[in-house]
Amino acid sequence: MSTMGTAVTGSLLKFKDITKTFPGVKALDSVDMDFSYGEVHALVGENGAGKSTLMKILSGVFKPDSGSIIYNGEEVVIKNPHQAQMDGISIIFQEFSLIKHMSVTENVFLNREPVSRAGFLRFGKARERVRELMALLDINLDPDAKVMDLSVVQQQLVEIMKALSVDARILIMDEPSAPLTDKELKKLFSIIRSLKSRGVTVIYISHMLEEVFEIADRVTVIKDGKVMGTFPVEKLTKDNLVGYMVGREIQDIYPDYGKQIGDTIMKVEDLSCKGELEGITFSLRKGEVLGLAGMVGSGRTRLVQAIVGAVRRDSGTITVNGKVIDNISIIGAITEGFCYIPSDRKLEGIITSMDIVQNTTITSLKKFMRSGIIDRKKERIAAEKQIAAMQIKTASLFTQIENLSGGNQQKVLIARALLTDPEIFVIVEPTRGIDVGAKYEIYKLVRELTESGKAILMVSSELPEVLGMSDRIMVLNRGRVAGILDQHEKLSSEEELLSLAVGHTYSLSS
Amino acid sequence: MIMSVNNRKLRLNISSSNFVWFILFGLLVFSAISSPIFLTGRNMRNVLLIQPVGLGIASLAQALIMLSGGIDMSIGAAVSLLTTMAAILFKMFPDMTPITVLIAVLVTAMLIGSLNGFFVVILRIPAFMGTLATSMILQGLIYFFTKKPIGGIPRSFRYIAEGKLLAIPFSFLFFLVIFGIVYMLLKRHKSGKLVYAVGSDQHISRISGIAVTKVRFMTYVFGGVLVGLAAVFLAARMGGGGPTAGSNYELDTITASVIGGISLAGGVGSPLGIVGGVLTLTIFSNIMNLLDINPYIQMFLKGSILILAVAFNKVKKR
Repeated sequence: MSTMGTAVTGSLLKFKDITKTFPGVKALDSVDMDFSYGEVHALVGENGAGKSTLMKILSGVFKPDSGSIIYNGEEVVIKNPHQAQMDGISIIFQEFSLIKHMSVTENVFLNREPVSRAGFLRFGKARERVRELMALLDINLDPDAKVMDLSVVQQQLVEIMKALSVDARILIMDEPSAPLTDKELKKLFSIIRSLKSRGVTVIYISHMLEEVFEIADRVTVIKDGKVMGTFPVEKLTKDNLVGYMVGREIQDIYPDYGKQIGDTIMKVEDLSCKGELEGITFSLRKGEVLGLAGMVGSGRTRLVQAIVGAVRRDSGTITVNGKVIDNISIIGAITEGFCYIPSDRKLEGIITSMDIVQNTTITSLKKFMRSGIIDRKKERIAAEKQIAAMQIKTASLFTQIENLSGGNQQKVLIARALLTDPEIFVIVEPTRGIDVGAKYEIYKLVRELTESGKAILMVSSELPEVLGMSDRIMVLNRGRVAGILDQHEKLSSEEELLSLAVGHTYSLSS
Repeated sequence: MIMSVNNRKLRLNISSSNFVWFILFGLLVFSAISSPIFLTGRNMRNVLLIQPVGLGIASLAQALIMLSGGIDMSIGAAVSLLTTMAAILFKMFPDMTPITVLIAVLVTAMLIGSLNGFFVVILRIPAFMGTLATSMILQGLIYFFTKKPIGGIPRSFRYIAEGKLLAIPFSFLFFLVIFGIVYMLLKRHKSGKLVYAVGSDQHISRISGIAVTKVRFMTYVFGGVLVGLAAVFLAARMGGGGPTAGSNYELDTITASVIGGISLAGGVGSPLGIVGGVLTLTIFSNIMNLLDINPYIQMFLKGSILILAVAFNKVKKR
């Protein structure tokens, strides 16, 4: 650490007009920002607003399309992560950057191992420095333990040590608190404060606004790749911060619709999965969105998987249109008129190497077969029709799906589902990782589906989404139905929903 | 919690690093029982100190490249080319000193490694395809020059395989020095740490500031030099070279590495395990010969062992 006086002020780092485009999305749109010496600068914004992209540019993982970075009074080009480290820019990545087969010590000093002049490793020295770091941070870990044997919290601590072992002038923390408990979070904050007093600039990214108010000096809000403004934290309230982040009133996001709810299409009775779900009974009606809410681990995902046959249920009957069905596989469920749109598009949804047409028709290829051969023209026309109806933004029908934005990928998945003529849509986290504008379009699509009489079972972790989109909300709590809220009578509140989800006493209203 | 961590460690220990020694021990016991010749001093010296050296050095090359996340399918053809080259050099320039030939072979080997590195790392051709293409290129070159084995490697050069230093076969010392260097680089030197890191996860390595391209390229170059050293030993041992001198070496080195605990996915395995894998293969061939098993049956069995080793390696990862 150089002899930096505590009173040094002024700008250490400036972004000027930074723009970065990925295929289909403008991730950053002429971003201007500045960071002072020794400040804690929070970066907030919704998922996909561009925070992580900006930090990846600063740490040399991505290169900007245009714009410049002024660091320490000079314009710099950060070519790669190595150079960023050498320049004193260190980052705690949101996704873990640890090699799981290696030990704590090896990971902390990866590529910066203490070595002799000939490049031989000095194991004793490395272990000693890890112990120093642990003492400084009040962490107690075995320096030789393999990372894969550590808990998520412990891995996060290793991640923090790795970032701090660089003699950093700028330390970027991208969602560092997610896996931490209160005790460790307090520790992290005291570390941040001591870094700050030594003149280190900390860039703090978090969804948790309480954390931002506790630790930050200034806050910059990013929305859809643009800077909405930078504010000293004492001039902000939680409400106006949320206002800047969302950029529009919550009510506007959810489309109006004619509530035409029809007859019951599906009945689930007494469905159980050992140890995870017990005695789930509910019904789903044509033209309604039934929101499924609950905390992580409440069994939401398990329930929809059991309904579409992705996992086995131990007991319970499912009746569709008065007929008892036996969903034991997803393929079976499709023929019964179900469709399942999973939350992880990359892993369970899109086929990255295929184009839009192929992704749209993959589950209904039978329709386009003539004596075992795919009729390409018929396939294309069918896909084209769906894609036009969905208003999918793409340069061509034959663009590879991975080059579309998240929102457009989701639309392709809905288009794919529609080709199988489903009556019941099971959608998990319909707007995860999708930017706000595209969210609205997905919501509109969902409403179009209900207006044409489809029934929708929607799982979502975002409470505003559940409240804004659902006709009824079923809340799960530890594998049981904690209550079903009818939105017809009055709109439920987040508090009402949460109190059911976390298990306060509540008498069923319907 | 503590229990589960311990169990995990225990299982890993048995399945990867120690596994090979159990197999080797079992094979030794079987061989000692089934053939009276196996335990004789002459056979032991041959099977432990001389025969494994060529495969051993070549397997170090294969393992190094596998640790970095790649694979080298050109090792067999490279050995054939380099032994042939040594023989041709001696034939054409009888006055050449063994050192000159040795250097010429190693420089060529380094070029072959660079070619692999160029295909796989720079052009980003999948390692399996890129090095298989190199293999075909090299094999074509050899057949262009000769279709038959060429002899005539002088006694001075053959010392590497047949000489003795203080009653110890020189071949063994030759291996020991090379193994020592590879071991120190992999386990005690920063460059080795980088190879393991890159083999474990290229993305994480890159964001940790490691020059991934350079590390991967250098493993192919250094692997090439090791293949050259293996070829030098084999030329000395056979007294010549030829188009089939290195036949099957690409697969044998993979078998030895995988049995020795090197992960096919990269990043996991130790140099000592490779020695175990090489000894296992060498002793297996030895006892098959002693028992007079039909060579084609031997080939059949070796292929089966490769499949078993690879399948086991895959299962382990789940």
